[in-house]
Amino acid sequence: MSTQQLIQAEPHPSVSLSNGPAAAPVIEVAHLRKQYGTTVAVDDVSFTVGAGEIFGILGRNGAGKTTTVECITGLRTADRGEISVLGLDPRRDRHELHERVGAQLQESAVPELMRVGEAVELYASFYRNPADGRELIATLGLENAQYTYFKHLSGGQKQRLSIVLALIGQPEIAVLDELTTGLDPEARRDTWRLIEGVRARGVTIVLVTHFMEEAERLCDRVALIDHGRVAALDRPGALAIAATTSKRVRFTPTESLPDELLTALPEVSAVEHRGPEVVVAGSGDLVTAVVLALHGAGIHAEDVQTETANLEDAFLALTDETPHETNGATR
Amino acid sequence: MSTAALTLTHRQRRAFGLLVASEIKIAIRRPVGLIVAVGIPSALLVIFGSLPATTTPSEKLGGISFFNLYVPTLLVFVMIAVGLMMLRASCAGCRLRRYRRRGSWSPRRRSPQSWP
Repeated sequence: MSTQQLIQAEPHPSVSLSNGPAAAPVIEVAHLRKQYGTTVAVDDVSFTVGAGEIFGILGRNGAGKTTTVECITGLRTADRGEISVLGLDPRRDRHELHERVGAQLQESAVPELMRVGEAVELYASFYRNPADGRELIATLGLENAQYTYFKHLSGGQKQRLSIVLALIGQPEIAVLDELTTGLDPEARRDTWRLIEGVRARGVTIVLVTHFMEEAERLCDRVALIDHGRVAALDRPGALAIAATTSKRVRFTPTESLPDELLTALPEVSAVEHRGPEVVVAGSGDLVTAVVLALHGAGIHAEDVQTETANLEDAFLALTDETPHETNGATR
Repeated sequence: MSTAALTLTHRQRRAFGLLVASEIKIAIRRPVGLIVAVGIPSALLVIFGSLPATTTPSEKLGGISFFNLYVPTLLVFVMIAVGLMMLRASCAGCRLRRYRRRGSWSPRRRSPQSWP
């Protein structure tokens, strides 16, 4: 605990220690609550987003991420709580809000038989000061698909068109909901570069995701939403450090090994088998303790690896989920 | 309120024009609906019109033919009926296919079409 506090207390020159935004807030959400029938989608969510930052909203499926975002953008009326976006009330000033906030929506589409260029032109016509559609199409690498029907676009192209439509009104804030879900790793990385490019234009970004890697790579701050509440809110790195006092060591033993050998050690908190591999979680001088114990028992360990805490560990620790569900997740 | 809705700005007129134009283009690209709504009735009209009984003027109908009396009336009815049915189906389809969800985040004035 003391080392954790030490690490957290090291001030990075450019980052404020508090978990509030560095710049003036453009989105303020206080005690948001939204219920569908008897299901509480959002229980109590509060956060602020500063101008120019990439703010991540992270959570598992059904945690209340999309509902939160829909309340922010005025698509749904909150049951309780206060929301201010660019000083506007999302519900009352909906029309003005949509001029200044662009959105990429989960599961939204344009008509199948509409061409890319037509969709961009049509949506541009809705805004007061639209961006140059051609330029935006070129920036997102869709110039070759300009005359392609929406239904013939690849998944990555559809997402990019979605981003074009989110940015066509020259918004001050862009809300991107599950942007890279369903994209292959390469397209995902390309999209990340695009988002960084969008931020470089001075647009504040609210990024809803359930990919830890994405949040870690892109976001300045992350709100972790679990069961309709903000479980944690901080920089991704700080969250990772704060949530995981435990360390992990993984290795492949040359012969089968009784769990008691390791669980008996004071440093070890859990032992898990993943195929031939053994993963040991614990704290303190874990590596030395494990290696010495194995050596004492005459067992050799191959491929010894230590894992550093990342956002995924933080996510699991904070949302109280057992680690075996992360098998196969990106690390 | 009603005057506000009727006085469209240049931007609104342009947006509306583009919306109508794109709907027309989409309708032409998927011609099945057009064929059913326009093609088949036209063909039936030609077939029935070629029967002498429908085009012979009749004293009972005030000296005009059955066709001249009924076709204009029916045309109006059919246009209204098809329009009403297609509008409903197309609104539901747009909602189902999430086009409306996309549109709802754009600054369009609230109209009956964008009711949730």
